[in-house]
Amino acid sequence: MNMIAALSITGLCAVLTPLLEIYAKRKAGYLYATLFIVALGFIWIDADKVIDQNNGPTFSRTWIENLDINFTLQLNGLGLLFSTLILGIGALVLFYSSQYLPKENNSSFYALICVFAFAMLGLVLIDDIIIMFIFWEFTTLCSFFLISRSGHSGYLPSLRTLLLTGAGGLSLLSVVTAIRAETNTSSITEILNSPIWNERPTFTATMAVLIIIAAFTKSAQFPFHAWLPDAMAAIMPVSAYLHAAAMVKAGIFLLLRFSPIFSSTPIWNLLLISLGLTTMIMGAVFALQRDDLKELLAYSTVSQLGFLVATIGIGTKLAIAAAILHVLAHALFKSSLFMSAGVLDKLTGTRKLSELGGIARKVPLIGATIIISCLSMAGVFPLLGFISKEYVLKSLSDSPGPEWTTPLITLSMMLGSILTFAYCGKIVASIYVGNRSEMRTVNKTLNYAPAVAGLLGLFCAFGIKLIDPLLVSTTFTSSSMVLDKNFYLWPGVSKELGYTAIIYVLGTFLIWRRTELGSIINRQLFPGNGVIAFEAIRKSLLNLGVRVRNITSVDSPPRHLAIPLLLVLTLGFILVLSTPKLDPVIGSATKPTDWFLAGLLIIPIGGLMVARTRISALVLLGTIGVLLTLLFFTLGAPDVGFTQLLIELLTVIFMMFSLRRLPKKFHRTNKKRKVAAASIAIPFGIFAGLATYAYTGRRELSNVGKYYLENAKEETGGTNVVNTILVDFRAADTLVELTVFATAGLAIMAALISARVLGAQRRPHVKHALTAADIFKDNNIPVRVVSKIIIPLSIVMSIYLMLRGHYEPGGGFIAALVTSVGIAILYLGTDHRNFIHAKWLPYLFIGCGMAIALISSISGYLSGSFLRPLHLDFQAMGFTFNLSTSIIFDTGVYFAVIGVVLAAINRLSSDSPHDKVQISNHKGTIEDLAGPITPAEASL
Amino acid sequence: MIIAVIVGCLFAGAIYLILQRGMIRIAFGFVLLTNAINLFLLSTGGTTNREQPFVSKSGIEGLADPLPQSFVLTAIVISFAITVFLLTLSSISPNDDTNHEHSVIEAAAIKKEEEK
Repeated sequence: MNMIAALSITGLCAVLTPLLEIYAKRKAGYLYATLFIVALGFIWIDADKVIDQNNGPTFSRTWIENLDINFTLQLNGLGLLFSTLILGIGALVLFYSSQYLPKENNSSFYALICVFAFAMLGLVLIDDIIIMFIFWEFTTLCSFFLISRSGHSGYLPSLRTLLLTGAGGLSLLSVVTAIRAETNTSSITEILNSPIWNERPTFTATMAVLIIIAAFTKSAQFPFHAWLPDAMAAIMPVSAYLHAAAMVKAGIFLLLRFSPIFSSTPIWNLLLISLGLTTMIMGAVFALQRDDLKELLAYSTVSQLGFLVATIGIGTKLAIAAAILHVLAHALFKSSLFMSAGVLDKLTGTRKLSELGGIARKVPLIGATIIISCLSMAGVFPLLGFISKEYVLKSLSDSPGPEWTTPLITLSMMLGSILTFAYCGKIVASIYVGNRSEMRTVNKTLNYAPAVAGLLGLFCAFGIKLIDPLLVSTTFTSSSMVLDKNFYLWPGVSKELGYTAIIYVLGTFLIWRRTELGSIINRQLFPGNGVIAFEAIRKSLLNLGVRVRNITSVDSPPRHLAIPLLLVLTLGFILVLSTPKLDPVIGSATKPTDWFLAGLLIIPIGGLMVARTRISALVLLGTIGVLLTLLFFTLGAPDVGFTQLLIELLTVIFMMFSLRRLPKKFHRTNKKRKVAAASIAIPFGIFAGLATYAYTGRRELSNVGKYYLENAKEETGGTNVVNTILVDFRAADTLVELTVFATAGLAIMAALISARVLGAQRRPHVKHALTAADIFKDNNIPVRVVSKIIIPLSIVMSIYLMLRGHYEPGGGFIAALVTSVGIAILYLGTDHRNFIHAKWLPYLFIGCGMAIALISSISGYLSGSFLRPLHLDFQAMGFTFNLSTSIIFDTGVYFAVIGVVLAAINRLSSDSPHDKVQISNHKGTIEDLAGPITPAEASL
Repeated sequence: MIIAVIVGCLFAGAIYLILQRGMIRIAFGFVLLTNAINLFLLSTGGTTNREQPFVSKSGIEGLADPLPQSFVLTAIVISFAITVFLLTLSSISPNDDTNHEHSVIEAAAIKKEEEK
């Protein structure tokens, strides 16, 4: 319960950010910091249970029952430590941000940091491997957004970070799914105890490698290290939190969490130790090269993480314990250093060490903070970094692998530590030696957060006795072994102390001789760098995509459609050739009327193929539609027939509007094209016919159909079964259909508005004959007379049809279409220059219709669930009335459909004010007064 | 069985029109295509039972399958919306040609006339 409280508080911070941005602006950071500490307090309430008895509290809720995925939180030692880091350092960074951030526009920063903290907290507390993956990906996304906030300079780095960490996420996904499939559970505690790891070494090894890839991308290890220095484009608080203390530690957390399984797998040890040490040395060398303080710290982070990774790779309980202690130490000193660098940046406007000379003498507090943190990083007594490094060196004597590897590992680690010492010295020397005098002023509170972090490094060192029990518990989680060695501030004289002394001496030597060192290493050490390599890979992938696209990318719609059609044809061939077995046809599928209608239908279809004028094609299309209506009625589908007829009417009317501005005849196509089209169309038709013949009519009434026919009356009170399916049984589908319809309507309006705005109504100087629709322009007097009667009649008819929909053919759609036909006839008879109704009327209808439909759907919750209709039976005037909320739903449908039709008809039928077309005479030419065409348009 | 022939003819006509030049013919082709598919959907319910699916005293013998009919109703409405959208796109420009080279030639012709 307390863990949920902590998570909720962190989540609450994220939610509050837009609000607090208005009232508190950047000072909101203080509030968030306090809330983070409160959340931390909640977690620590049960700390004693975790530390003393290893029996931390758990919280579980089932989430996906079928897959047995539960939202289970479990507080163990590792989670306790990491939560402290996440929330504690988060609080410090937020406190720091209140003073560091610019005065305005910070809500996205705070929101993202809080979401990130929420995700990290979830990551370390969750006991379910799949939800852990989800939190992992959240941290990736937050990191991407936080880096891309930095404007133009942050664009490419954020992309690279996303791609790299995203690729690691894919690796983690494969691990998660494989483990889930093999062990049949997604609870991490059960997975850790599963026998499968001992039984199947290859599986274990594969999982180990995949987890390592995921962790390495997140923690910027070689060869995935390029993104971390790149990500320094983000602002300083982001770097201090994500790239020093939290996000990169997620990879370390992953390694620690799964270390109990893999610590004795050879490939795990090999990869972690070798790549970790490589990264450590490489990162340290690069850090030594750098002049920009932020970049130096970034490479230093890479190096320190390499150190951690190598130590985890050793895998003994002492090594794990030392690594965990170093996690704590590193988080403290690194975040402190980043924040101090931010302060220096604010003071002097630069981050370059060569220009910061001597600044520390002017700001003693920051100078002291930097000294303490650097001492901790270098591993100097009496700071926390010293203790952790000492014990890491101690653990090296038990390293896995053959005997000769131990001195090799020890020497590499010492080399890395020497270089670390050297660049720490570089930082300290640069800020104290020199004589920089110009300085701005910053608010004193900016110094507090880094100072606290640095001092904690000192206090923890002296208070190591208190941390010891926590270490024991954490080590137990990460290695299933109880740590038997205690950590002391003064570890006693031993060979490790000797190593440390050598490190100090050689490190100091390097600092003393830094100019000579500089001349050796301050040049391009490798031919490329990580970023260049990565960009090369990315560009080549994009080029590959372009090439694949070019195979089928065409602009002309017919050519574009021909390709999938050919694909379907091939499938058809294959299907026919495979001669499937067919059941016999049931009953007599054909009636005499079918033959009659089929014979009639062939004529207009054939006519459409050869029609030359648009009007004749339209007439033929209408004929086909009407004949199909008859066919539907003979097939026993009255609702469908009505809808088809009305839709056909509306389609013809809309087409007439569209044809108004187009030429009379179709464009000529050459014979080759006709033959090609026919050669695709005819086989297609044959296959379609064969498919219909083969796959329909060969079974009895389906079970679903039978269910609906038998139960419609009792369950819904309606006798028109088709209508009850639409508005009762499957009302959700109708709701979605309504949404699609409304969206199409909005799209039509958008298209027409933007076409008008772009002035796409210019016509070239090509002489057309009369447009297709001019023929009837003078003939609409009968329409105008008739429409006076038709429109009120259609409205009455539509209401009647809607009310009777449940019992007889009718319903919301048909009713709306009847009204729409009335409206369309109204438009046909009017002067085209004006809108007939207000521009907002369609929006009103569509919006109200959808709202009504939604409200009636939600009201279903009152009687059980979404979209469940409520019934009401009452007696009046001797009749029994059966009302149901499905009629309200139908009303919503009614309004929305009318709205869409209004939208389309209004804009399609009117002339745009740009189109100053005049018909001079009926003999043929139309003069265009739209003005000359600019060269830009001519080149379109 | 003859329904299958009708479906085949409609499909053939639809595909032929879709591959023609000019957006309007493509729009006509889509209308035919939706008609064809709707007829196909309706025939999946079996064309033996042709009584209208209304609940009455005389039981459910011989009633047509109501489920494909509701599919088709939905399909007709949505494809109508798409048809109108296609028509909108066709009628935005004064020339619904889909062959690019033609428009380029036209544009060049216009330019020549301008320069005269």
